[in-house]
Amino acid sequence: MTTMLRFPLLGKRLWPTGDLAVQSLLPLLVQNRHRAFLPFKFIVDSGSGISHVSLEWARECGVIHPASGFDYRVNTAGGRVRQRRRSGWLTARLPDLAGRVFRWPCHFIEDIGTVKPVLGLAGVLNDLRLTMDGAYSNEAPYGNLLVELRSSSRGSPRPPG
Amino acid sequence: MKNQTAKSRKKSVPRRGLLPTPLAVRREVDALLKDRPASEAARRRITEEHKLRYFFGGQVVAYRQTSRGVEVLAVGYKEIRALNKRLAPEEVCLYTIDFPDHWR
Repeated sequence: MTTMLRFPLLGKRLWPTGDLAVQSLLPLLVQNRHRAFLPFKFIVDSGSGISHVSLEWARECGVIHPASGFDYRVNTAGGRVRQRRRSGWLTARLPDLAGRVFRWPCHFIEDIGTVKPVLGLAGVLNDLRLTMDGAYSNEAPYGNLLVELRSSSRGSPRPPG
Repeated sequence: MKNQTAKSRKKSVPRRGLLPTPLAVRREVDALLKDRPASEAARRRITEEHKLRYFFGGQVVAYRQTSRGVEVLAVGYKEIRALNKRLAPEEVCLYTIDFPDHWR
């Protein structure tokens, strides 16, 4: 039997127009260098090719990150932006699937301050099937993020070394 | 004027524990759910999320869900590190670290 987890989508109104925005948030336990798993909420972004977090977040929470970086030009809705990034890995678990540990590629971005960590597609889709379902219900007025463990999962690519 | 509003809100920020529900949050949730009726539990969850935005938008905050709403345990990395040291590993999983969006 496949386990399906549901996480209600979050609706919010944007200021000053009152436009409705919908966010998909996923709670994840992320391993730090002391092998402790710390609980965070990630934005699930199907438009992001790879997960990305702030380097400051990684440092402060003790998440292992690479020492050197590279310049990267990223296309955003606001235009093309130059960032300094470091290429590494996230080791994570889902709170409701405690037995499974995932390793997903991740970019650690320098000098972006306090921002929510973002879960992109690379590696994640090898392990999880993610569905954003906007169907209304009393319990989830803006719909749900549905998360299933892929039964045929061969896991994420192993980090080098 | 804008600065005054921000300042007065900052003064009333509850730093720890359960959060009160400001009128602005109540109105925001009413507007959000106007055409999408929600169960009591869903309304409570959405209200708690908006309270975190109202009081702690743009900051890193650790909190846990209780039967009486969200309880704020730590604000800022320094306090969160201290919290992690205090708690046993199995207790750490019982709270959430989040970066609530800015209220405005």
